[in-house]
Amino acid sequence: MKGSYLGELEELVLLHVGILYPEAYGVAVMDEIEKQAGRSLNISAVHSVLTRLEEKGYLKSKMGNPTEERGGRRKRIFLLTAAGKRALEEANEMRNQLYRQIPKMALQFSHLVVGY
Amino acid sequence: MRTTNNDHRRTIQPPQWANRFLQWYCRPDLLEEIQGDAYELFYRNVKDSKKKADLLFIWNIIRFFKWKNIKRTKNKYESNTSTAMLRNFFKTAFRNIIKNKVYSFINYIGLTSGLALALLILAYVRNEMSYDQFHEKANRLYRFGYTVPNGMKIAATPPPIAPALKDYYPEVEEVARVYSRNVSVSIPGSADTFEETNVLFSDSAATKMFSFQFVKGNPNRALHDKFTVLINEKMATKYFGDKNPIGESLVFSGRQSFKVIGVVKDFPENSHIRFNMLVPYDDMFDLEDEKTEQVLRANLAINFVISHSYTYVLLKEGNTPEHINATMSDFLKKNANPNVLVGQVFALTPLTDLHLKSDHQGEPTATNTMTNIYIFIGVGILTLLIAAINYINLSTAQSFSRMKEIGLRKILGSAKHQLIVQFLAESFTFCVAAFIASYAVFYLALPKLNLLTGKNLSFSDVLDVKLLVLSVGILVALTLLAGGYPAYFVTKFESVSALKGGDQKGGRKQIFRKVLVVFQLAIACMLFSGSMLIVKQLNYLENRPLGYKKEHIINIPLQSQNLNGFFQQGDSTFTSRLQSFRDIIEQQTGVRQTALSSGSPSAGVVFRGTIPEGFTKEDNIFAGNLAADYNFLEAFDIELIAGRGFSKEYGTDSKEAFIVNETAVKEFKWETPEKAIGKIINREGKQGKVVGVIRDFNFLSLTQAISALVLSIDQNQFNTLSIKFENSTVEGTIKKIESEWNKVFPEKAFEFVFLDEQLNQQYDNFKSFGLIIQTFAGIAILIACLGVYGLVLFTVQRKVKEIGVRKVLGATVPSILKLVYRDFAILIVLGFIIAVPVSYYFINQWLDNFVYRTSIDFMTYAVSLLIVVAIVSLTISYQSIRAAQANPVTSLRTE
Repeated sequence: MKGSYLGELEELVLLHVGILYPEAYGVAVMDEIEKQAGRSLNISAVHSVLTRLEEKGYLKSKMGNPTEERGGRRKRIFLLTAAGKRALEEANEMRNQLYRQIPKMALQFSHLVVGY
Repeated sequence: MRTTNNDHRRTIQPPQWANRFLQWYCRPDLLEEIQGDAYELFYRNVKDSKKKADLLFIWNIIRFFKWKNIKRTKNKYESNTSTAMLRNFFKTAFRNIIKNKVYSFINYIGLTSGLALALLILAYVRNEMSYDQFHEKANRLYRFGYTVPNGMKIAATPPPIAPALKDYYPEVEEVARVYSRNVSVSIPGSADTFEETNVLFSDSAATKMFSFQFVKGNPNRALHDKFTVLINEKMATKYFGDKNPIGESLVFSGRQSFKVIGVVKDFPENSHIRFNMLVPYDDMFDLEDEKTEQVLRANLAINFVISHSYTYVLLKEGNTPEHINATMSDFLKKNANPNVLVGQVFALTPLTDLHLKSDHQGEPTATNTMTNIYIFIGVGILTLLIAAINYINLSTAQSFSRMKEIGLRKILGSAKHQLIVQFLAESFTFCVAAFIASYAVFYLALPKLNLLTGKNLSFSDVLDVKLLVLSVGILVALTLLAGGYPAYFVTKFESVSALKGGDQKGGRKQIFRKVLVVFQLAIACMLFSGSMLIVKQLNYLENRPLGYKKEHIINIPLQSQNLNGFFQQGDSTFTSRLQSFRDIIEQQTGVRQTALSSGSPSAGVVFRGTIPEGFTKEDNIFAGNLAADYNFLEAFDIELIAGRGFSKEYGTDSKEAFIVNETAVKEFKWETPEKAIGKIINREGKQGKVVGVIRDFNFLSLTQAISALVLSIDQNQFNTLSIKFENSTVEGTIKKIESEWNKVFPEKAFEFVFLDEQLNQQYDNFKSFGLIIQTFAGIAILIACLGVYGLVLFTVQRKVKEIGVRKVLGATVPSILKLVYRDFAILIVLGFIIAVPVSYYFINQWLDNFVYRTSIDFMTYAVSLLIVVAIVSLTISYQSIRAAQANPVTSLRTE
């Protein structure tokens, strides 16, 4: 298992695997990311992230059923693991915690602009 | 989104080459999903545009082509125990090297320098053996040479042989004469004259025999038309700079203008003959004045006596020279006056043998001998052996410290062959690393080798497929040799006792290792004493008194060594001009004497048919002939032992007086020098009396014995003016002489050479040979010492406890030192005892090549033993003294 650090793209992909449960595979994840986040990724990039997440233990995979639109080939279906779920929670938690620490003043842009 | 058209899918396919590419590179366990995704996207896009979908498909396939997805043979997803084991071998090998830094370092340095030395020797030997191979027809090219009755072999042959040869022998395809001389060359209208060496006057057939590389000009008319010249690139730049030399003119001897019709590359350095300019053979006569020219031309066709040109022969495909060699006497009977050729044997030598196997006098460039080549090869092989023995010894020694590892491996089920593979793999890794380093050393040392040998080898020339193949061969041999023994040795370990750390039944192995050390030391002693004797011999040659004084003398060439002198024609104005020149310079302060000769004592001797009193023409005696004037003996301090020197007081001396040397007195059976005075000599028609006998002096190279020599005054053969100075401060005087020369002989460049330098040049080859052998032997000995050092280090380390116990029990430092030294002293002495007879045998063989040879003396061997002992003792001392002085507590405390 490589380092447990979760990159931004990794987090995005991990989230979408969760969203698409139980039908998350390469092309579906790519489409969903484009739809939800407006980011168009190359399929190979999605693949890399998926396999990397699997290596880190945040995802597990199984082979699905063969479908016709893939020329009779099976999909690899990705599922969140417990560690993946925890990693998402931790990332979420940390972001919220950090966000909460920003002083209110810093977020009052109208005041700042006027005062300046 | 997921709706699809079935018909579409069956007929429309993405570009199959891209698909095949994917299948080729992709890891099998990832292929299905990747291919599936790519197809899915393709079918989705194809509804918009087939072209776009294709491009996207290709793009995706390319994007999938990354390290993670690529098939690998040694893939961790595959289970392959044999490669895993191999990787483990290399890993342990590496760890071992790191663990034993000192051994590894010694081993590495030894092997690397051994290999580098072998590479250097190989480069040199290959260059020496590659002479004249560059000619396309090299295997069919031969050169005539002949043996005169006194056994001397001569490289040049009489010129009339060539034209008649082709008609007589059908197997001869082409034949060409080549005459090499110096010419004074100038550009028309310019006062500057340059003396050019290696101007070849050659028959045009040479262009069909040798491989000339034309840079400019038309090869077809080369050497055909009168007064045309081909020049090499150096000459082109010298005379014409960046200008195109074609069509320009050069003036030879201030007399005849030649048109440049081509620029030809000089033969490479591994050619036995080199050239600056090439001129038609016939044109050599046109450089003389009209009267001389006529005589020379008339003589050429019939002159079977005087050899000045090299005769090269190209045989037709499939012919050997044996037939020609066997029937040359018939050929000569038919074509020449048989009387002048009695007892002379003509034979063809293959062109490619000329550099290494010719023992002919008057080769155009310095030759080498096969003996020297064998010596080099021998040193190379011995050095490699020493390095290999180092490796074997150190690795077996080291393998003791690896007993536990081996024991464990065996218990875990390692088979014998696996252990062998392991050791071979280690040895291989090590040798490859040493090889790479040795190539680097080789590259760095090549300029040094060039300096020593006077060659011009470049790394890129030397590095070719053959060398690489040979390197791989040596690599494999070394791996097997150096890894094989330790491997075999280690497999014999008893696994249980190996694990316990107990002693192995090592007695016999110990002996084997000692045998190797003895062998190594023997080689070192052999190389050492051998190189000392070689150098001794070379010093002996160099310092041998020549029989005349060579100091403070300069030689000035007078007539560009032309053929003029052999015929009874001289340039009368030249003689009188020369006389006035001599009169002027003899007045100069610092000049003691001037003398004329046919080329100073060392170079001017020509062998000519001689009939001394008591013999007849049929005895066919050839004796050395040197033309010398009245001052000659005095200028060169040659001792007169009977009679008198040439003197102007006797008006007839120039016509009928001879002086002979002691050997001539013996060879002519005239008993004593005194009795020789007054005897009659007939030299090719010139009849006269012996007026004096001189002490023998070496008029040939010291590789030749002194033979009979006859001196006479032959005005027309004088081609060298020697000037003897009072002392060695001559620079100013020479300047004055030069300005006088330019006044008297404006058409000829002033040139001179110091006699002692000229003589020493003859020994340059010997000197560089001695230096190379010394250097190489020195390196070989150092490598051997490295091995001994490693072994001492090991012995001492193994004996640390023993030494500790001994010290505790009261042993002194000297008594412990004795313990270590005794072992090695025995080995050295044994090695030396083996080395002496072997080196004696080979050196004796080598010395047999010399007429004047030094003795193989006891002292040389004693000194070399002493030096080897000293070097080895020094090597041993540091470690053993340290061990002996160590506090026994430290060595005994740890377990």
